Amino acid sequence: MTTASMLLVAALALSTGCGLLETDQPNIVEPGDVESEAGALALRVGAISDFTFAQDGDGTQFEDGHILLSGLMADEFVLSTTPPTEQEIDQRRVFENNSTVYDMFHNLHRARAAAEGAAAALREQRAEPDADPFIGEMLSLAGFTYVLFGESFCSGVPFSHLEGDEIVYGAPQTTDEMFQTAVARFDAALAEPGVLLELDPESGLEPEITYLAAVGKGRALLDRGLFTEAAAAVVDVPTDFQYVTEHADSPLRLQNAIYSYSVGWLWSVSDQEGEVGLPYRSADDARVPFFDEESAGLDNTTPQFTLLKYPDASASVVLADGIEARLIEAEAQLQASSLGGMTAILNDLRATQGLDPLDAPGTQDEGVDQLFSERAFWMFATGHRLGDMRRLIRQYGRTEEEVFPSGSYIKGGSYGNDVNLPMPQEEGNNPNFNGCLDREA
Amino acid sequence: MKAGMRRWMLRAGGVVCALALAAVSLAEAQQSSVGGVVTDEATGQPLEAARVLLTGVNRIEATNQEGRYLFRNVAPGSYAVRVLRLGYRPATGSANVAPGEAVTLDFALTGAPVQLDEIVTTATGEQRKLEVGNVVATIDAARIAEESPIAEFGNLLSGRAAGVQVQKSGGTTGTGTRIRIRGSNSVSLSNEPLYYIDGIRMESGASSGTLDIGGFGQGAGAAPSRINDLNPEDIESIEIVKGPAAATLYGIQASNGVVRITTKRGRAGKARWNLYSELGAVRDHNTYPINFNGRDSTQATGIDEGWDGFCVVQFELEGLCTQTAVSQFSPLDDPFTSPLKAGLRQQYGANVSGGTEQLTYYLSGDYENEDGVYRLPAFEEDSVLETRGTIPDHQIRPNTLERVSLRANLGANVSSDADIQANVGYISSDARFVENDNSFLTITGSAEASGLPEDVNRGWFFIPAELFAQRNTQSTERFISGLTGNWRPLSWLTTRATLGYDVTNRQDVQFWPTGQVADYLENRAGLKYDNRFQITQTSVDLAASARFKLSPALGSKTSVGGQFYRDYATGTFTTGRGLPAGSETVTGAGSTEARDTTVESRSLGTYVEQEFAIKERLYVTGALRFDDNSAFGENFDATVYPKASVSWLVSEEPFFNPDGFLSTFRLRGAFGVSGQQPGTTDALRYFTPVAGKRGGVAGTGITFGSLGNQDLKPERSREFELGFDASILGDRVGLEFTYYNKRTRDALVQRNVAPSIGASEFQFFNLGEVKNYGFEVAINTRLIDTRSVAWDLALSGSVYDNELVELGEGVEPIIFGFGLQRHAEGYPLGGYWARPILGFDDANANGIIEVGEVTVGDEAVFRGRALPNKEASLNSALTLFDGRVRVGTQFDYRGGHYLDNAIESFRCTPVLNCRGLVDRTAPLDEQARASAVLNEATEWGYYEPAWFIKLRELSLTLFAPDDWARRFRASRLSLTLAGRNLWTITDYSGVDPEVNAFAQDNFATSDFESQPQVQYWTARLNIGF
Repeated sequence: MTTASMLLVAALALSTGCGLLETDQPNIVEPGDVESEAGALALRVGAISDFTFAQDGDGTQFEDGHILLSGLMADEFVLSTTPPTEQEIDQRRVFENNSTVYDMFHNLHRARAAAEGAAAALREQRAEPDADPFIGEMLSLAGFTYVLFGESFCSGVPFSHLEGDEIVYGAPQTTDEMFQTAVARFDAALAEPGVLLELDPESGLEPEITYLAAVGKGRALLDRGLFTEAAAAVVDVPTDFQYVTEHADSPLRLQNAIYSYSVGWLWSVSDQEGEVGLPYRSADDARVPFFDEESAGLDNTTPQFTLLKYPDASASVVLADGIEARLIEAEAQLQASSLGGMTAILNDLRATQGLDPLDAPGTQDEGVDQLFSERAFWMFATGHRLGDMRRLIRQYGRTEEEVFPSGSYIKGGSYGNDVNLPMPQEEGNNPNFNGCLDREA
Repeated sequence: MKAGMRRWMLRAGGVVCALALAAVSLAEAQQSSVGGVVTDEATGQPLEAARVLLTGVNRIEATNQEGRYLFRNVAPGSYAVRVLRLGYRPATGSANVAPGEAVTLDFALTGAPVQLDEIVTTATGEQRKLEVGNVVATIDAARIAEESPIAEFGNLLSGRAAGVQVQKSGGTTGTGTRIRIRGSNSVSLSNEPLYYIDGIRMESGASSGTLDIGGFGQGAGAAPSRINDLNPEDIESIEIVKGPAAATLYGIQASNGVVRITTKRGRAGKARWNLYSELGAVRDHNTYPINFNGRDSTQATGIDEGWDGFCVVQFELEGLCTQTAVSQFSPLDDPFTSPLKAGLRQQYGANVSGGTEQLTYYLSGDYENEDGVYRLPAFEEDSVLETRGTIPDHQIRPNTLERVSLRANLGANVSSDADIQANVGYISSDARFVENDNSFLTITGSAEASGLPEDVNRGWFFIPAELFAQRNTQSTERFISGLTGNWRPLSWLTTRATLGYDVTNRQDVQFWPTGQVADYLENRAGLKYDNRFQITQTSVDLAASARFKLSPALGSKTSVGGQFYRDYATGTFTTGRGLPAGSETVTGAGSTEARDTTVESRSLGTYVEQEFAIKERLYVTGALRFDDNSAFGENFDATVYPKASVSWLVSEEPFFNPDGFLSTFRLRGAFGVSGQQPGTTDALRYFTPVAGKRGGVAGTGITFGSLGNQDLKPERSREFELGFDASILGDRVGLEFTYYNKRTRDALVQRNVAPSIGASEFQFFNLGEVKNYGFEVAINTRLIDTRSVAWDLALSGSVYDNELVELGEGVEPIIFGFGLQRHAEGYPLGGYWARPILGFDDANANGIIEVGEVTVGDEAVFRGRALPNKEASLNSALTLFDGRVRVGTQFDYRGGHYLDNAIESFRCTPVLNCRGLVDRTAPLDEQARASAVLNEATEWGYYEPAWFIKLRELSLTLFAPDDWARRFRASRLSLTLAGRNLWTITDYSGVDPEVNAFAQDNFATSDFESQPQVQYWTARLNIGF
C-alpha cells in the first residue's frame, strides 16, 4: 500500500519538472556567445563565407551562386543539365516561384546582412575598432551585395533587417537606389579609420581594403552611369591588385562551384548564344579557356564545353581587381569619345597576357562593342556580364534583341524577354513588398 | 504562467493521489481466486489465448495451452466473468467469491463468424473494446504473417484497417513506407503516427538515412523506414488508434494516431516450437516507356554546328532540322541490356514458447535475405571480369537486404498480485541500395538516354557496370528492450510501471571506388561517405487504476499516470575525397571533411482519467492530459489536453432483442485533443558554425542559423468521432461505421521568412488551421459457413476531405516539390498546381500540335490533391476441405488523387525523347501536353489521375492432415504459396501509380526515375512441434 502511494506520488512529482526537460544543443551557438571580440571575429569569417557562397556557390551543387546564374541568363553559359528552374534562367523566362532564384536572392541577402552585422559587431566588440581594417572590409562586402542585387534583379528589391528581436521590413529600392546604397557602403568603408589609405612604408602593408572599396565604388558608379566619377574612384588602384574570394578542396562549403559545375558537365561555355552572344569559344581567347568534351552534357542534349578558367575546386575567384579598375577608366575614355585612349588602356591590359593589340575602333558604336567585349572576356565568369548587358540597353541604347540571346532555344521553345531576375514570391511575406517595380534593364 | 501551470498540475495530481491513498487505507484483500477452463463447445478441445475478464475490477487473463485461466487475489464479492476469443461468441458467467474461496467457472464457447468485442490496449491498460468510446482497429498480425506474403512490417498494415494508408515509395528492396491515418493534419510537422511496441515508444523515422542515393536531397531516394526493422514474425497483434479523439492520453505527438504493436508472448504449457522457411522471387514485372529518338541524318540541326542533335517534330516545323529517322528503344525493356532480373528472397526462422504458471517465455530467431530486382547484365559482368579479373558481389547484386532478428520475451508471476514482463528484441541488418529517383546515376535515369543498342553504351547514359560499382550500404544494430511490471496490491487497484530503451546504431556508407564508377563529377577519383549515428528513445511510463463499485449499477474506474520520454540522437559525418586506387578508407583520402550532430528532445506528461460504467452497458469517460516539452518556447508553458467519450451497448439493454436483425449494437462517440511538438530547436534563435577562408587560411566562422520563436507551442488537433458497431444476421455480418471531424489549430507553419531579412529561410509560427473530416466503414462477414467450406470477406474503406482553412495572415502559399505543390488556403494540403492547359486545336489539320495551338492559362490553378483521399480494401479468405486449404486475396484501392508523371514530362523537356514530341502519330492530347511543357513550361498535362486497384495479395495455404504432420514428428504442417503486387488496374499512363521520388516526404510526391513496385512470389513452409 505504501509503495503504491509512493509510486503515484513519484509519477506526479515528475510533472513538476525537476530539470528533466533541460537539454543540450551543442550544434548551435547562442546569440549571447557571440557578444565578444572573438565572437565578432567569428562573425567576420562567417560573413566572408556567406559572401563567397552567395557569389560563387559551393561544392554541394544544391544551390547556385550569383556568378553561375547571372552568367546563365547572360551569354556566358548555356545549361547542359536538366533542372527546369535553371533552364528558366538560361531561357530568360523566369517565374516568381523559381526556387533557384529564391536561393540566390536569399543567399545574397544573407551575405549582406552578415557583412553589415559583422561590421557592427566588430565596431562594438573590438578593443581598438579604429585600428581595425576588418570593419571596412565588411562594409565593402556589404556594398558589393547591393551592386549584385542591382545588376541582377529587377528594380524594387527591399532590404530588411533585424533590430534585436524585431524584424524591420525594408521598402523597395529602385535599381539606381541600390547602386546609391552600394556607393554609400563603399564610402563608409573608405572612411573607416582602420583602413589603410595608402601603402604603409613601415609594415609594407598594401591598402587592400581601400582598393577593394574603390573598385566596388567605381563599379557601382558605372552602374549609375557616372563614368567620370567611376574612373576617379579607381585611379589609385594598381593594375596588379586583386581581392579574391577563396576556396578549398574541403569542406564542400568552400569548394569553387564554378569549377564544380563545369567539370560536372552542368554548365557549358556558350558561343554566340542566341545569335547575338559573344564568341567566347570561337574567339579562341586565352581569357576564356575551355575544353571541348565532344559529348553532350548531363542533359544528353547540349554540347559540353567545359570552362577551364578555374582549374580546381580550390581556385580563387576575383571579386575586384586592378584590371577592372583599368576597364572602368577605359569606359570613361569611351564616354569622353576618346576611342584611342580607350583602346590604349585595353591594349595595355592585353599586353599583360600576351594578347595581340586591338585596332582603335572607327566609330563610337564600335568602341562600345570593343569595350564590352573586352570586359566580357577579361571578367568572364566573375558575375559582371549580366550587369554589362543591362547597361548596354540602359546606358548605350541597345535593344534587348541586340544584346540578349533570342530566337530558338537549344532545348526547344524560344527565349523569353527577361533581362533581369524577378524577385521570389517568398518576399511577399514582407508587407512592404509589391513585386518588381519594373522589369526594365 | 509557467510556474502557475506546474503548481496546478501538482495540485491536481496531489488530489488524485490523496484520494487513492485514502481508498487504499480502507480496503484489505483476502486471498481468493476464480479460475476454470475454456473449451470449444463443438469439439471439446481447450481454447488457448482466450481473454477472460473479471468485470468490475477490470482484470484480464489469457488462457494457457490447456485452456486454463486463473485470477488470484480476488476480493470477496460477486463478479461477472466474460470470455472473449476471436471466432467465438462471447460468453459470460458469474462468480460469487467468498473469503479464501477458489471458485471454478468453466466455459464452452460456440463459434461465431463475426465478433465485435475483444480486448484492446489503451493508454491506461487493457480494456474491452466495446467499453472504449472510439474506434480501434485491430490486426491479427500473427495469422497474417503466417499465411500472407509479408515481406516487411508495412505489409502487415496495408489494406487492413479503414483510414490507414500505407504508401510504399517504390519497389527497391529496403525502401521505406509513408503511413497516413485519416489523412494529413499538419502543414509543416510530421504526419506519421506514433509507434509503441510492448508499451514503450520506439524509433520510427520514416526516412532514416543520409545516403545521397538520388531522390530530392540527402536522405531521400530509397530511404529506409525504421518501422520495417521489426520482424513481422514476432508480432502478435497491432492496434491502431486513429486520431486525437482516441489518442489524447498519449500526449503530444499523438495527433496523427498511434500504432501499438504487441509482440508474441509465451503461455503456460509445454514448449511449443514453430519453424518456418520461405523461399521466393522478387521480380520487376513492369513495362517501361520507350525512348523515341528523332534524328537528322544530315546532322544539320541549326542549333549548334557539328552537333548531331535530336530532331523533334517541332524543330522540323521551325526549319531547324529534318527528321530522317525515329528509333524506339528502352534498355530496361530489352532482356539483353536490362539489369532488372528476378532476385531471391529467403527467410528462415524458429520460435519457441511455453512456460509454467510462474514463468513464461517466447524466444525467436529469424534470418532474412532479399535480393532486389537489380542484377548486372551478363555481358557487362563478363566485361568487368575481363578487365579487372574479379567482380565484387555488390556490383553484381547492388540492392540487397540481410537481416537477423532475435527476440526474448519473458513473463514472470512474481507473486499472486504481481507480474513482470521483460521484452528484448535485437535486430541486425545490412542493406545495399542502388541510386533511385532523380539522378543520372540511377538505372531508370540512365535508361532515359536516347541511345540505341548498337551504341557503345547500348542505349544507356551510364552503363549498369559503372552505376553498380558504387556501393551504398546501411548497417543497423538495434536493441528494443522493455520491462513492464504490473502490481495489484488490492483487488480494486492495479498499477503498472514500464521502462523502455530503444537504441539504434546506424552506419551509412557510400563508396565510389577509384576509377570504377561513372565519370560523373569527381566520383571517379574515389569518394567515401561514412556517417554513423546512435539514436535512442527512453520511455518511463507509470500508471495506476482504481476500480470501485459505487453502487450495484454504477462502476467507477479512476486512472492516473505519468510518462517521461527522451529522444536523443548523435551522429558524425565523415567524407573522404580523392582515394588512392584500392583504398576505401576516409583516412587515406586526399581531402577529408567531418562534422557532428546532436539532437535531444524531452517530454513529461501526466494524465487523470475517470470512467463510469453504468449497468455495464453505458460507459462514460473523461480525462485530462498535461504535457510539457523541451521544444516549447520560453514564453509557453505546459499544455492541457481534454478528452471525453461515451460507449453505449444498446444491445445489452433489456429492450433490445438480440435474436432480431441486430445481434449486437453499440453507439459510440468520442472527443479528444492531442498535439504535435515543435522541432528541437525551432523555438531558439541561434547561429551556426560555418567554414570560411581568408588570406589563405581556412577557419571557422559563425553565420545566422535560425530566427526562432519564443512563443512556440504545440499545435492542437481536436477531433470528435461518432459511430456504431453492429453485428447482424446472427453474428454473420459485422459492421463498423465512423464519422470523424478533426481540426488542427495553432498549426505550426514553417513560414517562409521574407528573404530580404537575410536571416533563416523559415520560421515556425502557430498560425494555421487544417480540417479533416471523413467516414470509415468496415464490414466483416462470413458468406459461406459450412462444415467443409467457409468464406470470409472483410471490406474496409474510407473517404476524407482535407483543407487548409487558414495559413496565417499575410503568409504566402507555401510552395515546394519543385514549385509544383502548394499549401494554399481553401485547398487540400500539398495539392498539385500549375498553369492550366485551357485547350488545344490542330488548326491547320496537319496532325501536329504546333507552337501556338495550345492555349495555356496565365496563373497557376489547383489541379488536384497529391495524396489519395479514398481507399478501400477487400480481404477474402476462402477455406476449403474442412479447413485444409485456405485461399486468401487482398484487393487494394486508392483514389481521389493525382500523380505528377514527371518522368514523362522530363523526357519531353529537356531530354526530347518522349513520344509526344518525336512521333508524328502520337495522339493530339499527348502532343498537346508535350508542347505545353516544352514551350510553356507547365506541368499541367502530366498531372494524371492516379487511382488504382491492385491485387495486392494472393495466397494459397495447404494445411497437411495431422497424420502427415506426425510423420515429421510435428503437430502442425502447412505450406503457403503467395504472391504480392500481382495485378494493377489504373488509368495512370506511367509505369506505376504507386511510387514517389520524394520517398517518405511529408507531402512532396512525384513519379520520377523511381523503381516501381515489384512482385513477390514466395513459398513458405510452417512446421509446428
